[in-house]
Amino acid sequence: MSDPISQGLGALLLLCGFGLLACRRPEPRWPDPMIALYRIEAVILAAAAFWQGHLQGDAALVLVGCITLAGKAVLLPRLLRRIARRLEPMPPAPALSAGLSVLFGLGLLGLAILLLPPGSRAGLLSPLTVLLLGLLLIATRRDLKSQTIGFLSMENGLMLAAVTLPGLPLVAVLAVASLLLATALPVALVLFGLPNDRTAFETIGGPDA
Amino acid sequence: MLGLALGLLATILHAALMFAGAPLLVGAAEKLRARLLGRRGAAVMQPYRTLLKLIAKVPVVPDNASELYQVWPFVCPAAIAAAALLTPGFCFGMAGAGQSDFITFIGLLGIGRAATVLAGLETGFGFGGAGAGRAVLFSLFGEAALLLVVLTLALLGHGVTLDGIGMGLRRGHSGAPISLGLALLAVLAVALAENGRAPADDPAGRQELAMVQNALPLEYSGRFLALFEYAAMLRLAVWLSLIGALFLPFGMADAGMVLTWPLGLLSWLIKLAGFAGALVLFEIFVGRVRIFQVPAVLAGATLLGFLAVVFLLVSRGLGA
Repeated sequence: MSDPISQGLGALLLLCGFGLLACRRPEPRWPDPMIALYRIEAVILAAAAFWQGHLQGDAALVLVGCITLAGKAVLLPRLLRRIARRLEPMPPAPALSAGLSVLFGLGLLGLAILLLPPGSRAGLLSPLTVLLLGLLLIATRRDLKSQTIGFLSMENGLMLAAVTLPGLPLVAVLAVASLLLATALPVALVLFGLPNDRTAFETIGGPDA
Repeated sequence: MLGLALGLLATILHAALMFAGAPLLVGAAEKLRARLLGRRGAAVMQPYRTLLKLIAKVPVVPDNASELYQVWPFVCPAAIAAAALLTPGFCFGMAGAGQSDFITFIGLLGIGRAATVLAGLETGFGFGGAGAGRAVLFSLFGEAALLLVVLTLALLGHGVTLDGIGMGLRRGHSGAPISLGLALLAVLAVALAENGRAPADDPAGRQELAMVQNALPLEYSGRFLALFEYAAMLRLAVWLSLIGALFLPFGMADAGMVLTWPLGLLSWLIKLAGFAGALVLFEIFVGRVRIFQVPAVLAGATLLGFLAVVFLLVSRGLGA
């Protein structure tokens, strides 16, 4: 749990979380930075699962890594791209500027340090902070794509905690369940389409979305 | 007594190699870049020739320049030369080891930058002013990141001098490779910006609107320009040596033990060559970002420095 590789992967996931917060409007060179970052998060998560599987000699964790890689690094980004194509090209501006939301994110990092008991800080700091950063992303963004990715990123934080805590029962089942949960929202959006009526967004996207 | 003499000798050797070799480092990097881009490129010794050519020319002083116009070209290389003497190159324990405080080092580089910025503002022409504003903006963010890195490294290496940190990190396992890695990333970003390299600036760029570092000495010529160019070359060598000494302190010699010097010199050479090669490759594959995005890149470096401190404190159990 506190070996340098797990911690390093946790730190990388944390950096991706901050990267998601720092994403502003898309660049022509890099059209969809948030989806790309989500994909990187998924790869890191899979690496963490493989590493823990190697450490604990647990085949279930390797299975979790494979599920993560297939589901989150390949399938979900595709779904997200399909949704993103249907959404408006210019999403509404976030409620908080990128710099300010990263500063808030640092505050949440401090909160996570205060919340965790000293013994489990080294192992749980990154997962908890990624979760809180996902919440912050949902709170500060007004467009559906960012909020979906924020939700998925939160779920990544949870999965990282589940994977890095040794001896957690039913990790593989948990992984499948969380993947299903994570996929449900984008799949529903793709299958049932987005409502044409813009007012339907107001509950999700704020009053002026 | 012998230790003192050896330390002095090591310092003289270090200074001689650093001062004489800095243009060679730039020349070799430029050659490699040209080759990788499919050009033949100028000779490796070209920076020396450029410097000699500039020294031989009579400088032209603008009419509206103040008396200080001729002072800045000497302040800038002098400050960076002082920083070069404090940076461990091939060995630890040189004569200036006790004075090589990390914050002093940052300050000396800051003096060098301040002299360049003031030189850019000297004649009041537009590009110099724009470049000066940008250089100061970048350094504002860069120094914040650097101070966080100093905090991390001082805690990791149990010392505040460059020498002490390097020796502390070489001696043993730091126990916090994550913090060290994050600090390294932050230092790399700051070093690139400070040297006017890829994501922040283009060292070969001669397009006035987009210039940052190159815009500052535009009004200088002859030997004054040579001094500024030399200072830039020396600064690159200083930064690369610093990164090598702090983050890859393997093979570093001890000034008191002459027999370790050859290995130290060899590893210094390999490190500098490796860093220069990596820098060139990085510059080829990564274009520069827009000028107003550079503060965001450096703010990212500050974030990395902050995370380095947090992870270090958490792993040491000093969280709250």
